[in-house]
Amino acid sequence: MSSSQMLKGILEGCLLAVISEGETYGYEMTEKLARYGFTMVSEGSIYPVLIRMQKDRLVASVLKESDLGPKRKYYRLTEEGLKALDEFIQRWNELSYSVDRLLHNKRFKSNDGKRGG
Amino acid sequence: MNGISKEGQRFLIDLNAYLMTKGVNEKEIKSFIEEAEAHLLEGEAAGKTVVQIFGKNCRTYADELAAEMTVSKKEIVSNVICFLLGATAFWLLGEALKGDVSFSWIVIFGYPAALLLGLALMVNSIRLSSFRSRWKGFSIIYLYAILGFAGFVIVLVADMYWGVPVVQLGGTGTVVTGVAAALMFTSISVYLKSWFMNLFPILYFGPQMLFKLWDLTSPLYQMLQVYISLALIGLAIFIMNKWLGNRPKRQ
Repeated sequence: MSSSQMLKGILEGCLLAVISEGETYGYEMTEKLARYGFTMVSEGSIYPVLIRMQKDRLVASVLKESDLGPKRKYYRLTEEGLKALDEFIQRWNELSYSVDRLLHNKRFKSNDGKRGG
Repeated sequence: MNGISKEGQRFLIDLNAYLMTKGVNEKEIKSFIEEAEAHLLEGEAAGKTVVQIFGKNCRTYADELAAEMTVSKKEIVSNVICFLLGATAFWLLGEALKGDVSFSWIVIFGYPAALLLGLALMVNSIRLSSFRSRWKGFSIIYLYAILGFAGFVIVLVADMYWGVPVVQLGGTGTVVTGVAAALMFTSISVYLKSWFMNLFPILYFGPQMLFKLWDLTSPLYQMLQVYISLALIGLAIFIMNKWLGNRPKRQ
């Protein structure tokens, strides 16, 4: 799996988490993601993911007027979306726990090696 | 597209055209373009550029979008049918204006082949010209249009030298064909909601009628007439592009 594919999978989970905080639209989502330090992907890359999520019925959308001009598309989580978010959190916890442990041991051994040399 | 930079407007126009050539459902394209427009408006107001918002490689981004969107086979078939019927009406109108509706086997097989080649070239030229500078994009479309028309010119010249008429209509048949072709062309433009389409027969056949009026009918003048018509159509497309780019958004 390439790093961009991995990022897309994570991005989907993160978008589910952002939308679960309340009805929101594209630009606002990118701002929230940026606030959490999610700056490794371009802002526009959320849209292919949102289109897929909407097709999978994880999110629903509604157009609302905006003071700035064009209407904004607001997203909210569906029941399936909530389930998908729970699954993502569970999978992420398992994965990050395993990866953390593995990398922690690696770092430990590597530091030992440096000390020994 | 009020309030968006020229760069942003071009990006949206190119993205729209590129997704259309990929056969993506028109409603989905419209919905996404509106969403991207709203994003660009806020992003640019915050000092971000198109590249910062949508990434350096617009084509890759458009491909990623197209992969997630619905490809509408029904729309593709309807567009191809409209194109084929429109082109046939255009051709018949030209024949009727010449006052002589007669077809040889070269024409009956040659024009549909040139038409399909033209369609493939047109789709490719739009894809290739997307996300390039205005002049580069315009040059690509123009070059492909000349190549496409070259196919028709080859059939035209071949028919002139070796074509033996197998279908020939008289005076009344010619008038009926001309009226039917004009009605067919107008109906298609109404169906496609494109009034601009009606300008093409005028731009194409106008020089032809003038050349005929001035009695300039040698093959060299016919070739010249085709390229003058092409230049006029190219100019019309350029003006239309500029007009679309500057058009204030209808609320």
